[in-house]
Amino acid sequence: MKNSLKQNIIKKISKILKLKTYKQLGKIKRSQYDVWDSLVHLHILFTIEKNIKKKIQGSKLNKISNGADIIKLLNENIR
Amino acid sequence: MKISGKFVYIKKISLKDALFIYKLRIDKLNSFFLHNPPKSINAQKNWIRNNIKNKKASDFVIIEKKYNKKIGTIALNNIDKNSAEWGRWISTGNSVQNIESVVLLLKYGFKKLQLKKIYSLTNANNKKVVNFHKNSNANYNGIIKSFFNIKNKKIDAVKYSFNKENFKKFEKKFIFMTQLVRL
Repeated sequence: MKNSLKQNIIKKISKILKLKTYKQLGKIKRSQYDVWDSLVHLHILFTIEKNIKKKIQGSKLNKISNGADIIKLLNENIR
Repeated sequence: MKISGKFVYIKKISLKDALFIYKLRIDKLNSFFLHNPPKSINAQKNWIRNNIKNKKASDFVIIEKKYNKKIGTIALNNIDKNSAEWGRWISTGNSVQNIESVVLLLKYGFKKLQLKKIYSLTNANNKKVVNFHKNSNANYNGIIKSFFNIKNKKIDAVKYSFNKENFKKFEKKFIFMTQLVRL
């Protein structure tokens, strides 16, 4: 159940980031990926908070700079 | 003059902002897609003096509300009766702060100045900002060939524009998303 929630969020974020497969998420960096502008970033944060239904510290959200950070954040908050 | 949002406010530039703007513009990371930065703080001060007198431009400093810290610049220029160009956008804040600065500037243009159209001309190589415009509900108006001359290179501009209606959609989307996300 929790794994499927995580997978579901990862799929949604991959779609927002226009990735061909969700497996690419862990490999991309915000600074090097042009699709990941500030509006897309806000959309990603919104998707995370909306789906896990939990408030995440602003400082943690601010630190997201690559796909691996997103996966880490999801792992920490969906247990 | 100060226009306040939830996370940032924007205020008209003054000579007191010269050092901040100068440092922002000489930063290699920020200036990559920009015209040559001013050669000195005095040159920056002269630019501000002229800009304050220029009725066709409204330049603002973006200030983070929480710490009252300057984080960037944004402007309307080529202001005429119905339209203006928005730009000179350099913002080092987080995503929410950066987007809100745009919302506040556009609100100023549409509500205070009663403009009908606010457009942007972006360096075509600045893909991230081009994507920002694309995702913001702005209308795509095409590419203007060799519009910029940056560091002696001719570069195309990508034009996007807002009218009151698509700005309202953009503002609404921003408010909706930031109700949940608080950075």
